[in-house]
Amino acid sequence: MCLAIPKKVVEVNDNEVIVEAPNGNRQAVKSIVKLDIGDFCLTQQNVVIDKVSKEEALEIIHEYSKAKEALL
Amino acid sequence: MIIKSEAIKLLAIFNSSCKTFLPKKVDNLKYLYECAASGRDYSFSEFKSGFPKNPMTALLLEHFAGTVNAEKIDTELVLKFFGGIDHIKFTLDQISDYEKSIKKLSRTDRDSYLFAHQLTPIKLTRKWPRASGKYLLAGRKVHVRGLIPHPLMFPDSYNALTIGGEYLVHYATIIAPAGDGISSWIRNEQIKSNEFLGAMTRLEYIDYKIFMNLTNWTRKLLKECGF
Repeated sequence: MCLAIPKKVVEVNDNEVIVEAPNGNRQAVKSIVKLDIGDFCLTQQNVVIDKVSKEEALEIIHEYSKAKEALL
Repeated sequence: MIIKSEAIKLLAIFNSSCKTFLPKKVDNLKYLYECAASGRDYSFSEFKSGFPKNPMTALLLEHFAGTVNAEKIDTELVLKFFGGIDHIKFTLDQISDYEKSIKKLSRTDRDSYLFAHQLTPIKLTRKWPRASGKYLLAGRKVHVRGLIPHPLMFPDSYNALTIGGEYLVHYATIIAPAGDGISSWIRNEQIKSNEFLGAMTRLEYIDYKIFMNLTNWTRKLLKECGF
């Protein structure tokens, strides 16, 4: 689970949730976790695996931004 | 379902080796080490519910146990989880998600990440300084440098290692001595993946002091966990 990337919920539909990645790309995912627009979540293989707080999401995104050149 | 004490110890070692950007990594690791230190088996639901944050490795391991109809989680199952073809597919999915969400990776970084994220039986060629080894698979060879023996499995550190011996390695961490059975099983799984073989064809070596700064990162994390 090294590269779990936080994504922001931008749309909630009956069968799927649309999430937005840090670079602005959007994707449809399945979720058994109740999510509202504006929530942040972690996804794996198009499935939401956990909801995270905004603070946690921003912390992870910050770590990625620091790591982008140095680590990967 | 139960998870055996030795499997928890192994899971703690794996989690120490895996670099992540998720918060509370150290809290989760301390929990795993506490469970391992108790020396007892856990019901999986008790084990899972005790994680301070995001028990994702536990969830993935539980899912894997279900796919192979395992009645218990033991050390063999943990090793097969990290060394099998499903873990390669899982890693490829992660790379794909990273590239769609953050940025494209260079071919070398992509290959290095795919290789580093798998459990591999490495033949040790150098102990200290900068423990190194090589992995041979289907005529391909990748050298790895900057390895660290995990203190829970190797209390005597580098002195416990034997040059020419085979060890299971995940990222920069030497997880455990490799037995013939598990080494063969891992090779038979990894040879099924064209992506993994392709990465091994292109890669010459990975130096973990450079790639993801893993050698130093692992040392720092182990220190934070009290080793």
